[in-house]
Amino acid sequence: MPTIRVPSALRNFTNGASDVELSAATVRDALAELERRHPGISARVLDSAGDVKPFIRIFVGPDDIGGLSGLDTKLAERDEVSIIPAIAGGSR
Amino acid sequence: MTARRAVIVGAGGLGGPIALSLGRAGLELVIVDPDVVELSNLHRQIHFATAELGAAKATALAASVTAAGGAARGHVARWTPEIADELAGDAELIVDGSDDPATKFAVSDWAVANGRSYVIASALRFSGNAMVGAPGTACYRCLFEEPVEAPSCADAGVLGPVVGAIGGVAAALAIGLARGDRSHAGSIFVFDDLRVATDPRIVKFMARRDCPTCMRAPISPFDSPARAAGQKGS
Repeated sequence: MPTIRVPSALRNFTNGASDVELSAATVRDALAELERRHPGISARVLDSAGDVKPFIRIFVGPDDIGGLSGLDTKLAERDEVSIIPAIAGGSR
Repeated sequence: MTARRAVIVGAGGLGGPIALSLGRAGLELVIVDPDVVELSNLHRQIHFATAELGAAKATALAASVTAAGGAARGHVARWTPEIADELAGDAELIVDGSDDPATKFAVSDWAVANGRSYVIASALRFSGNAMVGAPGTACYRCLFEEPVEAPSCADAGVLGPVVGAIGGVAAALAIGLARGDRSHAGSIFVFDDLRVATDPRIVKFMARRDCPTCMRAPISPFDSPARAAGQKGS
């Protein structure tokens, strides 16, 4: 079953879980299933048009879905989907 | 070392360990930061002491680098495109540890436009990341497209050791670039929660075809797929 790795900034939606296993054929399906289980989380990842927000990147394994088929990238049984948000912080 | 000079943007929790490490590695540094040392900084900016409260961070950190045998000068300013040429000069390497997204994009854009290698480091709460860029590889704007409002450490807090750890990683990656190792260029090292795990996820990303910065770059990642994906040696 594919796994979504949830960044720490979104784990308040998943009761602290860093990894969520789910049955999904594509990244889009995986995010929809994640939303069904943890309502509200997809609004932090996708915009109102259903596209990935500009400051968030999604990877399947080491590969950016932007270089694959975007949200329609197919998932295999053991794929790991990583959601990586931009963060600031460091100086002041 | 292939590189001899570096600019450190930000003299706070990330910039401190980065500057001290790179200074001791023999790089000449310019340290850029507009702020002064405040009491609330000291839990995470352990290169400063109470005696330096009120001092300009850039000059105080430069003095620490110099006292340890390195060469550094501080510049009390915020990195902006308007003064970037003056600040960076002929530095071969730029390392960002600033606290706001706009500065990170400005650093990356300038580095790409001027053919310099760079590292962008970020930390917040228990997490952090460090992105490595070099001429001809995907850039920070390819990764995150545009600045957005994001909480800073001052707003959302950060565990003190987290900035030390991420700053150390950023320094190690910068020294690799300074030695001519481009094997991680176009990659981001992601540390999700350093209380739980210290192993990063390392993801290499492709240049974005519509990235305005890369489209104008003198050495474009679109020239060669191998360069877009990053490769060892420069």
